Amino acid sequence: MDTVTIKINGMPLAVHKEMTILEAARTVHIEIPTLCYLKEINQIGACRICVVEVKGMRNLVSSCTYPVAEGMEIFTNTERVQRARRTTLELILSDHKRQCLSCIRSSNCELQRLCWLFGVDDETAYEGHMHEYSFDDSAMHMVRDNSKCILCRRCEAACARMQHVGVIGPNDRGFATHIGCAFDQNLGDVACVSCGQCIVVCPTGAIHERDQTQPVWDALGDPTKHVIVQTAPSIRATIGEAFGMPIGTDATGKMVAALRRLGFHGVFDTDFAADMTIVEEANELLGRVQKGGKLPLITSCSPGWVKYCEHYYPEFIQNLSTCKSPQQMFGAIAKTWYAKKRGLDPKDIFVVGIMPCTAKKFEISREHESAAGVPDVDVALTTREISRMIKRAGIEFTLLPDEDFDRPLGESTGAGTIFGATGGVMEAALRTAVYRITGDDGAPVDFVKVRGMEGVKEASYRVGEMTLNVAVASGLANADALLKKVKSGKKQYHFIEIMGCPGGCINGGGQPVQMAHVRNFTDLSALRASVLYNADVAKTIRKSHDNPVVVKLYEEFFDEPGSSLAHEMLHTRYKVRNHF
Amino acid sequence: MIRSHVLVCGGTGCTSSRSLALIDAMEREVASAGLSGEVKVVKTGCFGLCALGPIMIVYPEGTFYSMVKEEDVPEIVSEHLLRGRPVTRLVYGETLLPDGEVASLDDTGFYKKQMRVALRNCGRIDPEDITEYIAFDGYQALAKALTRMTPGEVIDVVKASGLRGRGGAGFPTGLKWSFAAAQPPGEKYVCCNADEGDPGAFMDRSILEGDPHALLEAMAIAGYAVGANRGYIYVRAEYPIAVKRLQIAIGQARDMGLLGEDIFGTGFSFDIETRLGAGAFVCGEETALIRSIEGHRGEPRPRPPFPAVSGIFGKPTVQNNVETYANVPRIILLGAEWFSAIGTEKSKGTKVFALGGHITNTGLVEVPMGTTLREIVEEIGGGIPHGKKFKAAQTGGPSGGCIPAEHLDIPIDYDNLTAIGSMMGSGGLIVLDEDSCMVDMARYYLDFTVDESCGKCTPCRIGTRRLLEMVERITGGNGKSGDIERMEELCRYIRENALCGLGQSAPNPVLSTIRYFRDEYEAHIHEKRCPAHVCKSMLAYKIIAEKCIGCTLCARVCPAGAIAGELKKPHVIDPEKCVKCGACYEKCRQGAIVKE
Amino acid sequence: MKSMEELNAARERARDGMWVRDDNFAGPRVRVSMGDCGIAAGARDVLDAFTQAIAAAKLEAQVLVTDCLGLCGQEPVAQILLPGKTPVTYGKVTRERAVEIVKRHLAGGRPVAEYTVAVRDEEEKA
Repeated sequence: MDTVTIKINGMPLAVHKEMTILEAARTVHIEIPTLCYLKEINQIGACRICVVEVKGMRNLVSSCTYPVAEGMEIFTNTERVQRARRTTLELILSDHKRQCLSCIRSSNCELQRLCWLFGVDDETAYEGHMHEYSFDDSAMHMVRDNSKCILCRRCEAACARMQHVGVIGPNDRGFATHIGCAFDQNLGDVACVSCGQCIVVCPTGAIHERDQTQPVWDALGDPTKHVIVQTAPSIRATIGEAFGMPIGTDATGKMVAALRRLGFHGVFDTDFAADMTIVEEANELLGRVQKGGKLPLITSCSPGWVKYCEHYYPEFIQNLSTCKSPQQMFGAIAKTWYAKKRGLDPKDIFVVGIMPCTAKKFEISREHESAAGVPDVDVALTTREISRMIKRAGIEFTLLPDEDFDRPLGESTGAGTIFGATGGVMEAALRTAVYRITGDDGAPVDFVKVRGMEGVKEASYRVGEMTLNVAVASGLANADALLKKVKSGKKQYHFIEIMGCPGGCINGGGQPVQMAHVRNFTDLSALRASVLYNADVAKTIRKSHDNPVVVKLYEEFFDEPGSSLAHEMLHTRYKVRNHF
Repeated sequence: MIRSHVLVCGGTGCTSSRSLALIDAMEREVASAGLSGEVKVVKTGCFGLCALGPIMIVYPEGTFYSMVKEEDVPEIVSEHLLRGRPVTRLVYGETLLPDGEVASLDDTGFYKKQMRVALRNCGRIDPEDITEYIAFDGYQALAKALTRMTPGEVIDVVKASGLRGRGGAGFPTGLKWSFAAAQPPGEKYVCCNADEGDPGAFMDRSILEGDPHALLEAMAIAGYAVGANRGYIYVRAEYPIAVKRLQIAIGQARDMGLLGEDIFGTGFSFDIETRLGAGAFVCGEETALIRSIEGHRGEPRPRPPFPAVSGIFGKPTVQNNVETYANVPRIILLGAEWFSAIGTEKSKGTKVFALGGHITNTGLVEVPMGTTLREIVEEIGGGIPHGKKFKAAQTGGPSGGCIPAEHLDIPIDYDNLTAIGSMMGSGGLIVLDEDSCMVDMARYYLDFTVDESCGKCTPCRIGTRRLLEMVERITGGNGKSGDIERMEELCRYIRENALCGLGQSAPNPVLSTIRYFRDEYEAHIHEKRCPAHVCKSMLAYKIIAEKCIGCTLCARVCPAGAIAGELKKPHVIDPEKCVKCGACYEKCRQGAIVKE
Repeated sequence: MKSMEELNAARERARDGMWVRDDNFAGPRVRVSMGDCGIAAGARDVLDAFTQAIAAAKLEAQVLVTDCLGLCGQEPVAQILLPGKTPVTYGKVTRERAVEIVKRHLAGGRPVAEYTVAVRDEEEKA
């Protein structure tokens, strides 16, 4: 028998025998509060918030780790349990920088929420030594403030287990325990890939993106600047969450309206640049396949993945597509072709990227990312940052009318839109590659085998005379596993799509933070991805090479995919980075 | 023919008092006296009476010499070894009879009530020579288990013996083995917890240093019983002698085919590796130890699953401590009935205690379970020095509690100790005399656990720290009314909520001192007074003018220049300048300086 | 080690000489008087002769040295102590006599009457 009968708060129920108490309680809609628990990634029983009473046991047990057993009687809300949870919270608060009024996570902080739930009204119940840590702001993409850290170790788990990077973890022991890099080096000096997954799992304000909203406010207020904004494919699928809309809401129109109201001179779509990327990348793929170039070709749109490759798999650098990411292609086009068309000096154009991603903050500073002699993109903001700007500006997001992107750089296809989900780049590329090989304009557009939230997906497609073997991985632990197989020769592919974050950009490190009690029991990625696939179907043009602006751009400017000008403007280079 | 064996302790205690130089000197002197063919010098493990080291026993007479120095060696050789005249000035006083004869060590107070099972070979054999172990029935138990018993029978014998874990919690060893044996066949491990960390406890170290093969033999037996072919010994790197001897022992056992493939031709294979720990107290917790063996940060994880189901690298693992294993060969060889005849109803066999603190005979003692604390302190331990009164004994190290004088006659076993608020722990037994402050003692142990907390769970990481701060406020003279109750509440919270046994037991020293010495806490809090005059914040040194003869000794030793006075006239201590170091108090010959 | 017999044989080999260290030793003992008077009369040689003879005869016997037993005129003096028997004292022991004493008394169990000097009255515990 796979089920056991237990009682929770006197209520009998049958649950699977391998469930934890926490999971079992959830089946009858009892939410046991947690702090350190992240399903499947961090089940370590460290914070002790989720303790419950089990009949016959002397001590309270952590429900996130304790398995159910036949006949077990569990009590989740007794006075003893509540008192214990309250004491745990009071103890955490006794060594926590209580800057709640203006903390970046205020109102979205799991500790704050629990203190409110459990009526922790005396934050000084336990007084004693409090740590004063210095900020680690050495990395370009994020800031760490250990004085707000509650040592839930979720960041450590995300970094090590989800991403196979493992550059942060506990140092010292006992009361002196603190999260840091090995030997307390700065994050900027270690092989961090900037993915930001540690941020989205942090329950408090201890880790957050480097806030770069001020330079954007400044630019918007500068009459000499032509400030334009591009929004990455996945932003429309997530930004609504920051304004209380249900997960999986398509907020494209309101997002555009809000950005316009913030004062941007052009509200454009990175989807357009994604279409450009596909045309260039498909061309690169065909070139390598036909001319015997380095295979498999691996996508390069995810800067977290690119940095991971440079640090941990330098032997695959030759395999990386030389195409700039869509964000960078957009900037390059904006400051060359668009500038020329609008008669603007590229120096006066200020390009803001709204990205699902913290690694994009790093990406804009890479070498070979300045087509017009100035950086292609000036500031990359995360979904969270732009949401804060919209809120500060008093824009009632949910009540805005739906508006459309500006032209010409707002013109995009369904192929560009699905870039935001794992498998999307692959599918978009296949749509164009098939056309390029077969010349068949009526070929099918749906490549469903590369869709979905599995960590690694594989498919083979018969295209014309050849069979194209492809693989898709998202999340660096999955990428690591896939690359090991490729390296050992176990697997051979023509084309691989890798996204640094599990599920792709919709689950990026710059996306709105969903508290653990939500994310543990919701398939965030799938809900958000559905927005993009629905948008794809709704589009009349679904292949990148059919994007009229793309066509026009080649006619007017780049001549043809892979031309020397395209290479100069739209392609980049990589370098080996230290592992330690 | 070798007619005399000179055993010199090569344990850590005696080594630190230069016993190795003694061995060299003895070998040189024996050679120059032309006795090389007649006298053998043997480096052994610990004899137990560490306070009197370096220790030397001369056989066949069995003469017990203590505190032997290198310069004593020529005399021992020419007088004792050659002429048969024991050097009485070096003979352990308790064995020296009024007529000048030397009595057997077994008749002394220290040894009389002892019963050596786990320590049976310590101090008796050369731990670096497997043949000496074999001479004393070494590996016979393994041979018996492998050739005459089924794995199930081995487990049944261990179960029937009543052996319980000697590492702290006292879980029945046979039951633990049966859990691992019940797991489906496949990779399994036998693990030895040799990460002895309780301050003052060193029985495991003694066994590792004095009888390493007993451990190897027991682990191989355990491997056979549960179906494991590989063993790990997790030993702290601060035990260099133990590590070296273990490695020598493993090498010798492999050379003789007592470890390795097809042992005793039975097809059973077993090998052992050592893993060195960096000395974190928490790595003595079984799941943290496993994490450390695996190469991770040593942190406990919640149980279940228990190591018997999912241990090292996720495989079923039997983990016992050194002393537990050391009992196993005797149990297999002499039978469960022999072992279970020793001890009390629920605690069988013997227990080794590391006797320390305010006691005459500091060292290692092994007594049958059920021996009273009074027997250990007054008879074996030789009582409390300087005629002071017994106040309490701390058992179980930082996880244990104190036992006050009213419980001196309680027979010591697992359950009795738990019932009176202490615990067996690994067997540290620190005796405290009347001059000890129990609040300060609680502070000391708590300071240790706070320092050694791994920092993983909130109750231990922050809770114990806040508890320590409360105790420190009290010893610092800043206690407030209600503090005791607040501490009790926090203690209960930590005990019920901490992740691992170390955190759960961390409040024990505080709880047990509150239980038995609440009046001392109250004196500190309400009267700002430390009754034992230990807590510096509440301590003042004063000179009784009537007793002071004005010798100026105190003024001269005072490091702070706090004592003033003219020659032959009463001196005075300036409390503002006094740093309370106690130097004057120690120095005054008139008893004119008092603590208040 | 491929069998219990092999281990037992190893144990027998290892036990050779270990009786020197046995607190509960119950076998025969030789005690040689090694006071200054004894050594002057040649006790050192006699001691050697005893140990060599015992080794040659593969006997499990302890050899003890002792201070002058008070029979200075009879030196070198030696005693044989058999378990449960009264100690027998020999005087004017030579190398040759030692060999004979080991053979006839220690191994054979019969005192060599012609070399004895006295027999103590009290039973001495072996």
